[in-house]
Amino acid sequence: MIVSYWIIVGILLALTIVAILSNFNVILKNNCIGYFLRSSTFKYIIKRILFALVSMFFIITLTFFLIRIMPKDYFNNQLDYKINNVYFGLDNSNKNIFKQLLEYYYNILPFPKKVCVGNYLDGNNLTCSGYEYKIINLGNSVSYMKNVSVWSIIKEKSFSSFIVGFSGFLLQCLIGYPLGIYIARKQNGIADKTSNFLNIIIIAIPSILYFYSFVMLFMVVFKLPVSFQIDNLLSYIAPLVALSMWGGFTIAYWVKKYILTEANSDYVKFARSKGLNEKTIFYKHIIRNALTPLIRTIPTSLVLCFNGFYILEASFNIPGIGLTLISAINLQDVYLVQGLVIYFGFLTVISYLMGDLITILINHKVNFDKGGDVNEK
Amino acid sequence: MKKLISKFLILLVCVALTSSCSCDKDNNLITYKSYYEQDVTTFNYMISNEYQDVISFANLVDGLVENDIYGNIVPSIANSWKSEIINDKQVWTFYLKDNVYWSDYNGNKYDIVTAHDFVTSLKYSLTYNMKSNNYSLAANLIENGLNYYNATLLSNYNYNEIISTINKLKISDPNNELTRYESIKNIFDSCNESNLCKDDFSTVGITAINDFELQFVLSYPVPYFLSALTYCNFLPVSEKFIKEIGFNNFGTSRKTLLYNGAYILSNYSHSSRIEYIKNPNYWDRENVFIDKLIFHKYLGYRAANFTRLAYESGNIDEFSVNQNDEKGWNKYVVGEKGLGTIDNPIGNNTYVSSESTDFTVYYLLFNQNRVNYNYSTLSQEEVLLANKALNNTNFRKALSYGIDRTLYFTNNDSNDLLSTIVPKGFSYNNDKDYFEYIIEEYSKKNNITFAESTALFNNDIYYNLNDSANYLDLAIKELNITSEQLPIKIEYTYYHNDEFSIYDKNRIENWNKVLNGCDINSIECSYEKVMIVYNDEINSINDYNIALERKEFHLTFLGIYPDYNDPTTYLKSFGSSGELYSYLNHSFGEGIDNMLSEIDKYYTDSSLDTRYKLCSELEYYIGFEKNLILPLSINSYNKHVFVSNLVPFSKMKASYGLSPFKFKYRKIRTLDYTQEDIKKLKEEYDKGKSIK
Repeated sequence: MIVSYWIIVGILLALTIVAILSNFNVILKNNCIGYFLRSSTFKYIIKRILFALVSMFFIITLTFFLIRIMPKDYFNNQLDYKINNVYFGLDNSNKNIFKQLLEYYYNILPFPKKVCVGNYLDGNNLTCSGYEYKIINLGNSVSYMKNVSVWSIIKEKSFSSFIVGFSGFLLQCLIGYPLGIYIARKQNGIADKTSNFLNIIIIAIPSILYFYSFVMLFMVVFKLPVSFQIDNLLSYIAPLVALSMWGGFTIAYWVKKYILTEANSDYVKFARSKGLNEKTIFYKHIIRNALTPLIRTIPTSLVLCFNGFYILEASFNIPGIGLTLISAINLQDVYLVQGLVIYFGFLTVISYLMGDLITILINHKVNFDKGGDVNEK
Repeated sequence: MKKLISKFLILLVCVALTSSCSCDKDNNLITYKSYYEQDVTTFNYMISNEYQDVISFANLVDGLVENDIYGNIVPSIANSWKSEIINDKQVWTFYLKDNVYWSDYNGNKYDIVTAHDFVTSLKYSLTYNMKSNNYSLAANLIENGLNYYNATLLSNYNYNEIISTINKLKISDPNNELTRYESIKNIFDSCNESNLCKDDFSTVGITAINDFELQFVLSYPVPYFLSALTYCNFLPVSEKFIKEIGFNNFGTSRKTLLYNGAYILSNYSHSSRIEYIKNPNYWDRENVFIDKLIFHKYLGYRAANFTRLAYESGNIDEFSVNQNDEKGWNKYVVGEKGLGTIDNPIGNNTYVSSESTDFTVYYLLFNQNRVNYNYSTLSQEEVLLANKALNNTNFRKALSYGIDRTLYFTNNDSNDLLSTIVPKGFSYNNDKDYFEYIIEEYSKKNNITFAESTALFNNDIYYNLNDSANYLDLAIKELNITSEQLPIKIEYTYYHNDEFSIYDKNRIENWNKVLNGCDINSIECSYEKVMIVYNDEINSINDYNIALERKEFHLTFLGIYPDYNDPTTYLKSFGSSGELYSYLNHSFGEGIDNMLSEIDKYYTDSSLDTRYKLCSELEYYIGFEKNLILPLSINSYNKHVFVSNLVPFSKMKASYGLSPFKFKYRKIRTLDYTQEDIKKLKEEYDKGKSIK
């Protein structure tokens, strides 16, 4: 089940990339990779990636120190569990802090390293029962799920978050874009007024109340399960409907706004005076230009699906990563908080990087000639 | 082409969604659904004794014995047993069943459960480096258990290093580590003195004579050993499996656990749900009637009608009616004609849990040894004065007699007033409740008749305004407190959510008024003598835990859960190895220890009467004579009205151990039970109980 889901997600991503590449052929413009490598576009990409790496370095180092300047009590509560993390070289006691930092970099850099994964009593001695190669070693959780590796918690939880976030995002787009186009064409119609009204209502009421009303609606009126289960389709309905309405109307609002701005521009008036029919003007000219800035945000949103959404997850029992961070902080799980903060930092850096790169690929009008920065003509 | 692509994309999304659906293949399974409140932290029963963990592995792993639905101890993995006295030691021999199997998470047979598995499990929980939280019961009960534990602890330290660290910490102790190192030094000293601490598990009093014969040697004879065996300390574990996966990985997920209980863990996802499925290899399959248990995390909405709506929509199978939910209360308890009461509810499938099964009690603690005042709102002088006052027996009595404890339950119907340290109905000598021994002791000491003191115990036995005022005056005189030093400020710490803090502040205000001789309804009252101060700095559960850990309070309340069926399970927490000892004035320690060891001399069934008499003497000493703590409340389901899809009276009954959480014997009802049906079931149950 999960494998098939991933295959489909992969196909979708591949399709998106192919569509982008074939439509906006910056790279393939002159059929010449060498030209690309010498171009300022390439320099710009390299610069962005380097910036991302430096940001990551700062995030990791800062997190390390910030967690360690917590009041000592915070650690004292967890004396009992230290022994397990000694095994993974992530213990924080009795060692020079810079030595710890180096050890920490070693464990977090993504290359395979041999670590002991199990222990047992042989007579009275604690013996290692098996070694394994781990790529990223973030230590073990101490109070969230005792002895479970932080990396496996992150993997498991962000998968659930992604499934819900991604499905919700697709639905948001499926509602938002067609609706936006429809209400832009039929301004001040019933659909326009209704969607405006709903949009304002949804933005105005507190999110916890919004999701609670959906819980009640689905539980009491439709008698559906409101506690999310990854293998039960019925339990997807409530959170997905809530989530898609949450963002869908906002997308529709922006689509309409961009379209109306474009519809008043000079080239539309020119086209109209040239005698093109309204349908051609709308679909061939206005929509293409209006949607470009919106579509550019899609890859970033996709990456941020892994980030989770706390209130949604808390409302519908989704075992997601947003909820995990809150629980980990409440339970004073130092290693998990440390791992999660770095993970979120990494995602944010990646999403910004992707946003930058997509801007280059998507936009014909970007100029790289002056100093390698993005300047729009 | 573009239209085609968009249609294709929509199709893909639909496929993606449907492919992630198993579409209720298991519709024909008998399922029980419910909510859980707190997440399981680990399934490793050798290291954890936290409530939420214990209730989860109760269904997964079986021990030697368990309880039946009438509360009797019956064989589980053990077939039969005998106890004898050899060389003044009590020796218990258990003969195990030979058809109990370990199953893996797929339900395949892994290995047979043998006597060695019990030895292995105890070895891991008694070895210090495994960081078990539930070693203490076994360590104290089993011969040399504590010595082995201490020996493994000391192997991590060097005596000279400890001494030098202590000397360093005496000069500056930024992290409050001094007490920890001092306790290690004390263990070193006592071990050197007794020369009994041996780093060798074969000295511990548990032996597997052969694969199906297990022997325990106890440190001192006790009458309650069988009931202690239902506790998670004495569950077996397969050594072969531990070597395969490693001890630190044991119980971290459903795949790293072996099952010999009625259920197998089929899904666990933190902060979402826990799922159990019936174990196909279970030795007592015929008595497991529910195929699947699903527990969702409680969504955390505080609305009074939330659980009722969840029940009515089929999301859960059982709920207790909330008194604040008017509609539900009328529907299930009072009825249309208004004839029902809490004791006789009117609705179908509605029943009052017949007797209390949860004996978690709450005590109000007087911290007599407060050292830290970092998070305090008081000054150092005020803290020291309060310490001095709390070490005075009359002052503690003044506080105890001045609190109207019924006020604690204004908005919380799940609690009952507790008058004694050991709650009523907890343990019996034949048919005589231990509670009656306390009443007898009370009437003897106060020269009143049994009937009179029964009447006192039926009401609030402590609440007495005149006594409170007298004791307070006496205490102030004894302590030589000048009028400039008054009022004595006592800091009270308890974490409540917003809903409760209002009640809490009202309670404290009332308490202050009573203590200072004002009328409860008076609006203005100057607190001249005593002032209970609420620590406002503690506003989260984390702060509260830290304050509790550092003992930064004068008053708070703490819960105690019984481990075995004997009054000493509560009373031992006041002894020098007990969990409440650190709050008491240590001068009481020796006296209490002597009385406890005197109690332990009477362990046979025939001397139970003397034992309970001695226990009640000790209880009178702690609760009434010295007033070391104030009993506050008991978690009670007496007043809880359940609406359930389960057949009533099918639950294993016990006030201790794992049995009350087991789902063996429980059945899902197929038809509605009216109140008459439930009465019939109750009669049948009572009949069955008297036969057994």
